[in-house]
Amino acid sequence: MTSAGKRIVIPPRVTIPIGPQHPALKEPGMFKLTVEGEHIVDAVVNIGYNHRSIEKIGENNTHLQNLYLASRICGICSATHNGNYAQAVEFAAEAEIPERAKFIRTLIWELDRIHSHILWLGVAFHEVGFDTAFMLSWRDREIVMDMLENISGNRIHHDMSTIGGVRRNISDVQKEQMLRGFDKLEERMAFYRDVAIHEKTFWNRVDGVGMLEAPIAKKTSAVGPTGRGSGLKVDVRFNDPTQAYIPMMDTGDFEMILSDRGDVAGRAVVRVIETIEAINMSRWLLNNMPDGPIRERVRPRIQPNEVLARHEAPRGELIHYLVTNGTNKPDRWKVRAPTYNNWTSMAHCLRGDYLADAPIILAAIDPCYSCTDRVVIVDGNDETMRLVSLDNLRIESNKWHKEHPRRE
Amino acid sequence: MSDIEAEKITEHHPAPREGHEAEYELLEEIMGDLKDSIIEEGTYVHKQPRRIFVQIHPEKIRNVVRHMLDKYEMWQFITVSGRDLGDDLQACYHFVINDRKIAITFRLNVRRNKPEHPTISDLVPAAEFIENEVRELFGIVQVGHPNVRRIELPEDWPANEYPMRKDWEDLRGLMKKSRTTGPKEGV
Repeated sequence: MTSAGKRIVIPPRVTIPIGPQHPALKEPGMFKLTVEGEHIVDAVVNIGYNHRSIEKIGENNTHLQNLYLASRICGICSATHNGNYAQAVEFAAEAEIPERAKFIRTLIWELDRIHSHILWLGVAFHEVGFDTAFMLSWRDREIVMDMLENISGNRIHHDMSTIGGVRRNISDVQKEQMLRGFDKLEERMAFYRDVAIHEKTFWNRVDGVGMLEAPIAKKTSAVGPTGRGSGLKVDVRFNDPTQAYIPMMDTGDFEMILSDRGDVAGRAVVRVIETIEAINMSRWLLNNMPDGPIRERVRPRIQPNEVLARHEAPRGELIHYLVTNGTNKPDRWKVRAPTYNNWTSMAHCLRGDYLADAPIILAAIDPCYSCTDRVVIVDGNDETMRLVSLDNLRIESNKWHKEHPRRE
Repeated sequence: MSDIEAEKITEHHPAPREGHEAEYELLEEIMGDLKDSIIEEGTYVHKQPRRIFVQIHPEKIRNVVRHMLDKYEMWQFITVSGRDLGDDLQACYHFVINDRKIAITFRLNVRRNKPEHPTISDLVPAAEFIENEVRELFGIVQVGHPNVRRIELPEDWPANEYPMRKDWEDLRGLMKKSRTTGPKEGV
């Protein structure tokens, strides 16, 4: 042991836990990557570091209180949880809401999707070290954030939906402002689409990375852009339309965005083109919005019923399974957020790729990624640990890619 | 006791046949194929469009899922919802049949004193996380689960404490007010 000749040269297998938490951010997750040299040979996903037992709390709240609790499940796609809970309660009560309310609710969902996808695009640019595009895209995200603030009063937690309708109306002045904003946004998104597809800085880092073939995606039930990037026709807006999606899909002007590439590039392309489609949908919603009341009174005591409310959130299919029992409180409320289903495919995506590609693969399913901010590198043989911040890992990744410009 | 029986209102709302032909067609096919796995009570087409709820025998879950995977390519798994019904615990397996665009839910009741049923995680790998979650939150054990581990609760959580069960904490006496599950015994 003491002789210098017995020094370990290369550790054959190293396990790298990424995560699990950072005190300031939500949704911590931990990814244990086993690497051989630069190749990831195995990946384990650990979640549950931030279980807040919202379902249990919800059982003690009234439906109206739960609306606001639901929107606090996620900060980025709060409108989807809020709106989906509202529609679940309306299904259970068998209440019809006014047409205008349906349109406004759908409009908020689509605006939410636009800002979430642009946010993801910025994160993806950042993870591959293309910070110029990251800053530009987040600057243009402010256009849609301002729209949301204009019509709902809040940038993040819009809370527009309520049981029986929506809480705020949209005036003609706001409509004109939004239509002007959409023109600007569409022009910018066309630019980002070209950047994502034609700019080598981005494309070479995502092309062929994090492969998720269609059969595996089916087996692991990938949802949202992750599934559509592998060519699966999973989009609740088309398969199970509710609210104003029903008249919208009847026009036949919109189509599901699919890509059969199956890699991170496919998911990026799906998201970028979907944003443009969402802008068109929002424009259609504004132009075809009927007049009338925005809220219908629904009695607070909801009849016993069980409903499965589905909705396409920015990250995929969102489920609220609600059982009501005749009181004004739910008997059981189950929320399945889309990222939960995508964790299962994550391990497969990571396997066989380079460690330097791990940040972009983890980001590609669009989890609330900010949680994975700290990395512990454990040496497999002598079990020494060193702490690396994710920023450093990103810098190292980008350096590695600079030295290895093209893979075989 | 009879007063309680009378007061109990069903939470099942079967749909009329017109407007829901596709759902009824699918349900009748399934009922024909899986006669001995399905319990008729609680099996119905919901009023909400494109929803079917099927009550099955807990030990037959693997047969049902294997049949549905083979015949209808029911690959899209949604989630498992646990539920506390008092004497029984319930697990609802939600799936989507994408070709027919119908969401189908298989519910199974297990006894509270022996909450066990076979796992489907080897047939449907996507169910691995959520089955673990249901086991630790409700105490429903999936026999034969390939990767039993703790998902949601802290590592030092005491054994035999299942926080999503209704009797774990009943701060505001909700079970007493419930009109579907009826008043809880001994309250």
